[in-house]
Amino acid sequence: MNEEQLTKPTESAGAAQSEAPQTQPAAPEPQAEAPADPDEAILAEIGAKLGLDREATIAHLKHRPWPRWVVLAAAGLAVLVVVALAMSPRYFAAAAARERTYAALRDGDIAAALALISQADRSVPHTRQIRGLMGQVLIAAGRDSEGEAAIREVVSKDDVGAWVSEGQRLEKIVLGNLLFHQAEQAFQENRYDDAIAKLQEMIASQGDAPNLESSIGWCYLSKAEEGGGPKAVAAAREAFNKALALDPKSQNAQDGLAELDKLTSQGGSK
Amino acid sequence: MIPGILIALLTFPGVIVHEIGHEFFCRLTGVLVYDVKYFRVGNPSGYVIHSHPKNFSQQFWITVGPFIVNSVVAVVVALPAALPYFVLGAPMSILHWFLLWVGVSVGMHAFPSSGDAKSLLSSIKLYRAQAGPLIVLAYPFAWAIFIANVLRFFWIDFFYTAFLVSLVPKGLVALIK
Repeated sequence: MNEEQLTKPTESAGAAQSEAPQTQPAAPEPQAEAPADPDEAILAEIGAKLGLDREATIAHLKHRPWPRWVVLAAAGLAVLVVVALAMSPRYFAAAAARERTYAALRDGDIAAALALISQADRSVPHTRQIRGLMGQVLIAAGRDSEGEAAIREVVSKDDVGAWVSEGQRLEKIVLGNLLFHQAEQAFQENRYDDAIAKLQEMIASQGDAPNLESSIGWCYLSKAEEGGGPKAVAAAREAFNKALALDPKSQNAQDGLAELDKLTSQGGSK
Repeated sequence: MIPGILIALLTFPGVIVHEIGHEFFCRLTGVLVYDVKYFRVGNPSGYVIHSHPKNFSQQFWITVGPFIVNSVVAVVVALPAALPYFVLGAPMSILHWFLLWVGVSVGMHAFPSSGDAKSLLSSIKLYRAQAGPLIVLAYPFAWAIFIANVLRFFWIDFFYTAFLVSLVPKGLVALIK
């Protein structure tokens, strides 16, 4: 049937219309009182065009098949969906394993969590959500260096979009905690440059913070006390001042500056 | 602001499925379909001309049809892509991107038009006596359509689609874990 032929007569005869959403003209409303037979004129016109009587026209309209292209497009789309879903069981398995990993972590069963997340990682390698969680589980299991490597892998992936930014923030926090722990360890072992590098990496990853700047200040101060020279003193002062700029009430930075003043007034930088 | 015609062009599968939704429910409820334009470059970008519904139930389902059909099709089509991307953050293939585009396009045309909502409200007045229990749903649904059409300016159709295609896979995973 010719669609163009039908458009005008049906509208003029007051047929109802349902239309695509973002368009302006409102569909003709049904009249306040139901007309006796508002569609008869349309049926008569369609019937005349098709050479059919009223009943045959209604039967024709009722049993008109869907356009071939609609059927083909729907079938094609269904095939693509089925093909894509057939490729998906591993994704479902990995996603389910990830959920069970969280459950195991909530139960405090680190070994089970590690087994589950490793299984998910094998099913779908190098996905950021799996690797990120795996890194956290590895750290929880005491395998810090492997965990750090896994987390670094996902934190460095900046192309993942906003949808996973929450996970990415979490991983950055975990990485930050790990770096801070490593910085503390380096400080205690008098490896001040290593400690400073870790703290600066934290700032680069998570943004500046008064406690991080103060910690850098204390590293330089300790370095100065052990013969770091005027450069270390200047760097310490700069770090403490940065901390105070970020938080003027920072006690840690104020204590550091006081200690630094004491050291310089004593001429103590060896 | 992005012109509606451009959005319709970019998301034309959604317009087609929207009209199929109207037509499907016309056929299902025995309302004669006189003419369908599944997609065209213009305003409206698609329409279905059908006989006047003879009762409230027919009008209700014809109005609600695209919302149901587009929402279901959006979720089903986007699911294979949404699962790796939204749940796992995995890289997607071209097939995944294609399905995500079709799914999002379809979801973005789920809301019926204001014209559809007006038809539904008129139908309530016309058939109030024999409307039955569906009338309880009809008023809130019609007003929800009006509000959604106003909020289109703020991309509510896009956010609705994002909600559908990102949260449903997560819900499914939570169910099968």
